[in-house]
Amino acid sequence: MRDTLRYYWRSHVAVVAGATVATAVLTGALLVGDSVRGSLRELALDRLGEIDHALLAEGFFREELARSTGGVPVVLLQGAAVSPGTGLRASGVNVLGIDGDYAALYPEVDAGSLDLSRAEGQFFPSVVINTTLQRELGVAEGDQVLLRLGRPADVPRETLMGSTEASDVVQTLRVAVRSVIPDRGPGRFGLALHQSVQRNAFLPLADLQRALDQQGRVNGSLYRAIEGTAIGGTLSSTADGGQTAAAAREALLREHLALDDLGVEAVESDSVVVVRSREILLRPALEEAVRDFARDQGLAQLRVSTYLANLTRRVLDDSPDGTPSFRDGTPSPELYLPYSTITALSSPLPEGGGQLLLVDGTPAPDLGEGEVFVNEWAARDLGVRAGDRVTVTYWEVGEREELTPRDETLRVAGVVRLSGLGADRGLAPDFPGVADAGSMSEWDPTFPVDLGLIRDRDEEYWDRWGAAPKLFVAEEVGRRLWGNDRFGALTEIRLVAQSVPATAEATDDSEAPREEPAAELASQLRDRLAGDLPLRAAGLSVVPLRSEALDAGQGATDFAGLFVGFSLFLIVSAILLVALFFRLGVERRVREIGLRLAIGEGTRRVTRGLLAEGASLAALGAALGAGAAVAYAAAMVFGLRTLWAGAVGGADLRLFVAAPTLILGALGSLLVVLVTLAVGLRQLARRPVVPLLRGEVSGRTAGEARGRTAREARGRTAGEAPRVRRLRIWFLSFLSIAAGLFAGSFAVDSARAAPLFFGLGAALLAAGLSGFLWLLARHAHDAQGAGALLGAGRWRRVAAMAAANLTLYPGRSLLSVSLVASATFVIVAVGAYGHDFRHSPRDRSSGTGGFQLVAESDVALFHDLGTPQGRAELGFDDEEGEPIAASTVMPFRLLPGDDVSCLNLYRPQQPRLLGVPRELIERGGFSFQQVLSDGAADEEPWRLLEQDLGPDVVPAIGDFNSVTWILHSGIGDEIVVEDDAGRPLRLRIVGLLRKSLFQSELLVSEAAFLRHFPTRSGYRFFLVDAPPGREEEVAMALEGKLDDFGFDASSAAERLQSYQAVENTYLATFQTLGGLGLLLGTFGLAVILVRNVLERVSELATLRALGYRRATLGWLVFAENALLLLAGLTLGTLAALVAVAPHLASGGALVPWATLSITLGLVAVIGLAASAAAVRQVLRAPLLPALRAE
Amino acid sequence: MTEPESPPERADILRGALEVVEVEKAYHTAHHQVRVLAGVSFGLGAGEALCLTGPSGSGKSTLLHVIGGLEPPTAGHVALDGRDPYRLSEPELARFRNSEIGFVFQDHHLLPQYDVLRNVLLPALASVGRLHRAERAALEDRARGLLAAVGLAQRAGHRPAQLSGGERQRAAIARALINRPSVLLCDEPTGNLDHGTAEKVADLLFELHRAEGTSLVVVTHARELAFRFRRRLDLVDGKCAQV
Repeated sequence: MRDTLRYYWRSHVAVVAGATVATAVLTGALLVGDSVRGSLRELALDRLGEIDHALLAEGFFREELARSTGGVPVVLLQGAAVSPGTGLRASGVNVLGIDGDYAALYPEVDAGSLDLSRAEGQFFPSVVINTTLQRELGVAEGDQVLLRLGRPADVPRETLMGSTEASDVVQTLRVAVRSVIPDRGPGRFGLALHQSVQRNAFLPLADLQRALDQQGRVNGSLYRAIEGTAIGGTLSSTADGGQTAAAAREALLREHLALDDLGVEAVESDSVVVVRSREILLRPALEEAVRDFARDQGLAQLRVSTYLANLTRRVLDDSPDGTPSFRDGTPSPELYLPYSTITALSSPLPEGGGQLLLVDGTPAPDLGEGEVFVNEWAARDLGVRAGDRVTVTYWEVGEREELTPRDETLRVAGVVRLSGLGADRGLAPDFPGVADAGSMSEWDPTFPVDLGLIRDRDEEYWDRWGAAPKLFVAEEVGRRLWGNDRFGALTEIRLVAQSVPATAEATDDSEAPREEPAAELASQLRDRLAGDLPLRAAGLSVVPLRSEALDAGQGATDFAGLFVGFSLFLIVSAILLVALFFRLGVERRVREIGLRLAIGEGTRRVTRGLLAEGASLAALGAALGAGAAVAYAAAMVFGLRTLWAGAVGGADLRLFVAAPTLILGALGSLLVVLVTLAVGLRQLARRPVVPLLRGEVSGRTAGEARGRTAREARGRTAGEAPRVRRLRIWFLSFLSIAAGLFAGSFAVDSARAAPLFFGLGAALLAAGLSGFLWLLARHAHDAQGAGALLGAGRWRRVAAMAAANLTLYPGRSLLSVSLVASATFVIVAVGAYGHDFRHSPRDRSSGTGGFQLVAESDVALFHDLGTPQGRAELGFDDEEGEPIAASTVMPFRLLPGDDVSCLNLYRPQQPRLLGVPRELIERGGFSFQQVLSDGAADEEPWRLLEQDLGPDVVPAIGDFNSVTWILHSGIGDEIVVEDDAGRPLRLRIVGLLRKSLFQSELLVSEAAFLRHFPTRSGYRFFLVDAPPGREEEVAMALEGKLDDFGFDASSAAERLQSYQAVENTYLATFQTLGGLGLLLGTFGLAVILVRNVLERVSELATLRALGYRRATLGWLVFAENALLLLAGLTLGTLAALVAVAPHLASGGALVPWATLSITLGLVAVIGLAASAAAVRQVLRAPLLPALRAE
Repeated sequence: MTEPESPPERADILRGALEVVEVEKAYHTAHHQVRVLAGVSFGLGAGEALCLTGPSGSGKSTLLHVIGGLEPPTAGHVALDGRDPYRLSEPELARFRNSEIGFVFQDHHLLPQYDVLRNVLLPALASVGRLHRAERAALEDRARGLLAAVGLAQRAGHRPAQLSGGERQRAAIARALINRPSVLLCDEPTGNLDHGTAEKVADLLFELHRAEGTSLVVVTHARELAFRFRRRLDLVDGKCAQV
C-alpha cells in the first residue's frame, strides 16, 4: 500500500486536505463549546474567590451569627451611584459593606487593594470601586460619589405600619473613592449569574451599618467550603454537591440561630411568653410554627391581632335600607372616637394569659361574628352600652399599597373593664411613629392621620393607657377585616407556660397540664424554631453559590452544537470534497480495479484495500485537522470577542482546548469520512467488470444500464422521452405543492408558519432542481433534431452545447446544483429572518406591546405613577408630572433572579419573575407564539394568567425564545422555582410570547406573585406608553425625579433590539460560516469541472481538430460550470425569497440585503474565477496526445 | 474497391493540392531529443489520394497532424493550395482546419452527448454565426445527405453509444466531410475494425473522395488498405520513400 500511496500522492494530498478541513471545522466547533463553558467557569470561580456558599437574608441578622458560624459578614445591597463631579450615574450597583475578613476570601488579591480606612483629613467614608463603575462614573481616586440605596425596613412597607415615604425608602450616602480595583476577583463579585461585569462598590461594614441604622447586623454571610463538602471547582461538580454542602452549612447555622436572627422576639412575662415579629405581623409560616409548638407542648395560647380604627362612631338609627346613619352625617366630637386600637383575640381566653372582664366583673364571654366589646372608657365616650351598634372605620391596604377607608358596623356585645387584657397596652404592637410618641399629637405614623380629630380626652387616655385597645373583636372578625394573607394577621401569640389545657385537642393529646417556666419555654421555642422553621420562612436562605455558578456555567446555550450547526455547510462541503477527491483518485485507477476484479480478487477484498488506503489518508487528515481545529476554534473565539460579541453578551471568552474533545472530534470526523468513502466505493465496485476494464468511470450498474436502454427505446417511438416527461411531471407536481404551501403560508398565523416555511422551501428546491433536470433533459432530447443548435447565435450555441454537455453527467450536475442551491437557500432564508424592531414601537401586537419605554429601578417604588397622589408622593409637582400623567405607566412587581434571555450565557437557576398587573391583562397586547388553551383564551391569552391551577401551580407566560432555547422548556411544561417560604412552586407555561421585550423573565399575575412572594414589596419594573413624540421627555421626567430610586428608562424598541441583536448575530455567524461552506462547495464545483474536462480531453481535442478555437472551447467549458453555479445560486435564492415572502410581508424584517448580495456575489465571482483558472489550466495542456490512436 | 482510376467527378473545382517540403519534427524530453520526422518531402495534386504507411512510431500520425495544422513542424513547411497554415494566427488556423481539413481518427471521437446528426454538424457550427432558415435547411440536408451516403440515414437520431464500431467510423467520415474540406486526413481509419467492416469503410472513403473531389491522405499500417492506393509513401525512421 505504501507504494500505491506514494505513486498517487498528488490526489492523496487533496484527500488529506479535505479530511483536515472537515476535522478542523467539526472539532473546532466542539472546542468553541468547551471555550464558552471553560470561560464561564473561570469567570464564575474568579468572581467567587474562595466563597463556596452564602447565607443571605431578606432582612438583617446578627453579625455574630456570621462570625460564630465561620462566615464573613457582609451587607449586600443594590443601588445607584452618582458622581457629583461629572454628573454621570450608574444603576444596578452592588454595594457591599465589608470588613477586613472579606479580602481573605480572595487570597490571590492584594488585601491592601480593599483598604477602606480613611485617608488623613477624609471626612466621608471610603469606597473602593471596580473599574467598570469607575469608568461609568468618570471618577478618580479621591472623588466623591453619592450612593443611593434602598433602606432596609423591618416592617414590610406595604402594610399599614410600613413606611413608603421616599425619604424612608431611599438612603443616600456620600462616600470618597479610596481606590479602584480591576474587574477581577472581588471586582467581579456578584450574586447574579451573568457573564457581564458587575458594578461594585465596597464600603466599610461599620459605616454602612450605621448609615442603615443596623449596627451589629448584616444581611449576608459568605462561607468557604466546609471540610469534606468542598466543591472541587471542576466541570463535573453538580448542583447536588452544592446542595449537600448547603445542607451541612444549614445544620451548622441552626445550631447558632437566635430568635432574633429569625426576626422573632420572645418576651417573657411571668408565666407567659409573648411571641412577636420584628415585622410586627407574624408571617403565616411563623404563626403556624408557633401554633404547632404550642400544640405539641400542650400549651394554651392567645392569638392577638391589633389594628387601628381610624374612627369609631355610634350608630344612632337605621335608614330605611338598613344602612347605619348618623344624626347629621357629620361626626361631632361627641359621637366619634378617633384613632383607637382594636384587638382581635382568640377564644376562649386561656387561663393565666390575662383576663377580660365585663364591667359587672364577670368574665367576658366569647365574641361572635359581628360583635364587639368596648372598653368602659370608650363606652362612656361614645355613650354606648350592650346592644348598641358602632361603626368602625379602618384602613384597607390595597394591592398597590393604596389606603381605602372601610366601615364595619358591629353590635356591642358588652363593655369591658379597663383592667387585665382590657387595659393591656402590650396588646398593641410598636407602631412606627406611634409607639414612642409622648402624646397623640406627636404621632408621626406611616399612615395618614388627621390630628385635628384628636380631642383632649384622647390625649388623657394616651397618657394613662397608651395604645391599649378600646375595642375587642373575635379572632375571625379581625382576620376578616384586616387580616393579610401576604404578611400575616397576628401581631403576637401569647404562650401560657402554666396553664390548663386550652383546647379539647390539647386535652386529648396530653395527659396532664404542663408547667413550664417562661424562660425555659422561650428556650424551647428557640430550639424548635431554629431547628424546624424553614429558613426561607424567616427570610433566610443558604445559597450554594459555587455549585450554582459551576452548574450554570455549563451554559444555557450549547455553543458546541450551535457552532456545529453554523459550520454545517463547511463540514458537509469538506466531507463531500474528501469523497470527491478520493473518488476521483480511485477513478484514475478504474482499470486497475477492473483488472483486479477480472482476475478474481473479489469485490470485498478490492473495496477493503481501497478503504484501507482511504482510512490511512483520513486518519492523517484527522490528525492534522485536530491541530488545525485549535486554530479554527481560536478564530471563532476571536470572532465571538469581536465581530460576533453580541452573541455572547460581551463575555470575556478565552480559548480552552480539551484533549478529549480533540480526540472525540477527530474520531467523529474520521468516522464520517470513512462512511462516506465506503458508500462511494461500494457504488464503484458494483459496476460491471468490462466497463471498468475499458476505463469507464461514469457508467451505471449492469441492471440500470439495461433498464435505461429499454426506456430509451420506448421513448424514441413515443415522441417525448419518458425521462423528459417524468421530470416535467415531477417539476409540475412540486411546483403545485409549492404554490399551495405559498398560499397557505399567508393564511396561517406565524405560530404555525415554521412547518410551512420548511415545507415550502423543500418543495421549491425540489421543483427547481427537477425543473433544472427537466430543462437539461428536454434540451438533450430536442437537440436530436439539431435545429436548436443551428438556429442559435454563437454565444447561445456555446451555452446550448454546454447545457448538452451537462447531460453527460446528470448525477454530478444535480449534485453540484443541489449543493449550491441548498446552501444558498439556507443562507438567504436565514439572513431574511433578521429583524429590526425599531420601526414599530406603537403597534400593540408588536414585541414592545405598544409601549415605548421600559424602565427599572434599583429601589422599589411604592406609589402609583398613574395617579396624581402617587406622583405627588414621589415628589412630582403638577408641571413635572404632566408628561407622566399624559402617559400610561404600568408597574410590575419584580422578583430578582437569573436573566433567562439569550443575553445571559449562564444556565438560569432561579428565573427572574415579573408580576403582571391586572391592567395589562385587561389591556392585552403583544403577540403569542403559542398558548395552552382549548381556544377560549385565544382572544385574550393574558387571561390565562388568572387561571386557578391548584395551590402550588401558577400559570406563567414567557418569551418563546427564552423558554425554548434558554430554559429548554415549552408550552404546558412546568418550571419549578422556590417561593418566598422556600417551597417548590411550579410555574406552568400557558403562553409563549413572540419576540417580546419580556425575554429576561417569566411572567405571572400580580395576584399570584403576591400570594407566593409576599415579601417582595413595591414595583421595580415599568412599561410606559408615552404620547407620540414625547417619549424622551417622559423618560427624562421619570429619570430626573426618580434618580434616588436608580430609575432607568430606556427605549422599549431598543431593549427588544438588544435581544434580537443576539439572534441577528447568530444569523450573521451562520451566514459567514455558511458562506465559507458555500465557497468550499464552489471549490468542489471547480474540481468537478476539472475532472469533467480531464475526462473529456479527447472530445475537446477533437473539437480543436474540427476547427473550434481554443477560446471557444474555454468558454464552452466555463459556461458548463457557470450554468451549474448560477443555476444553484438562482434556484437557492429564488426559493428562499419565495419561502420567506410571508415573513417579509409581515413587516419589520431586517434583511441584510447588502451582506447577502456580497456573500452570494463573492461566491459567484470566486466560483467563476476558480472555474476560469481551472479551464485555463486544462486548455493549456497539449490536446494532441488525446487524438493519437489509443 | 481500389482507388478509382477516373478523376473525381467535380474536377472543375478541385482543391487540396498539398505540398510538404523538408518537414522535420522533433520532441524534446528532459534529457534528450526525439526526432520523429527527418526531412519529409512530397507533393499531392488536388483531388489525389495518398497512403502513408510505416511501422509503429515511424511518425505517420505526426506527419498527418503537421499536414492538418495541428502540430507545427520543427523545420520545413507545408502548404495546402499554396497556403502555409502555420503562418496563420490561432483563429485563422482554427478556421483553416475547419474549412480545409477533414479529419478521421482511428478512434472515432464522436461526442457521446450528441446524436449522430449533431456530431456530423459539429464542424459546421464551429465558425458560423446565426444561420437563416434556408441555410439551416441546406446544412441539415447536407448532413443528412452525407449520413445517407455513409449508410446511416436511419441512425441520425441515435447516440454514438448505440452504434457499432463501423457505424461510428462512418459517422466520423461524414462529419469530416460536412464542410467540404480540401483534404481528408484519415489516421488509421480502419484500425479498430474487423476485416469486413474495414473493407466497407475503405470503400466508402474512396467513394466519397471521388464524389466530393477531396484530396485524401490516409495513414495506415493495414496492408489491405494500403494496397488499394496507387500512390503510397513509406515512412521509416522519419524519412519517406515512394513505394
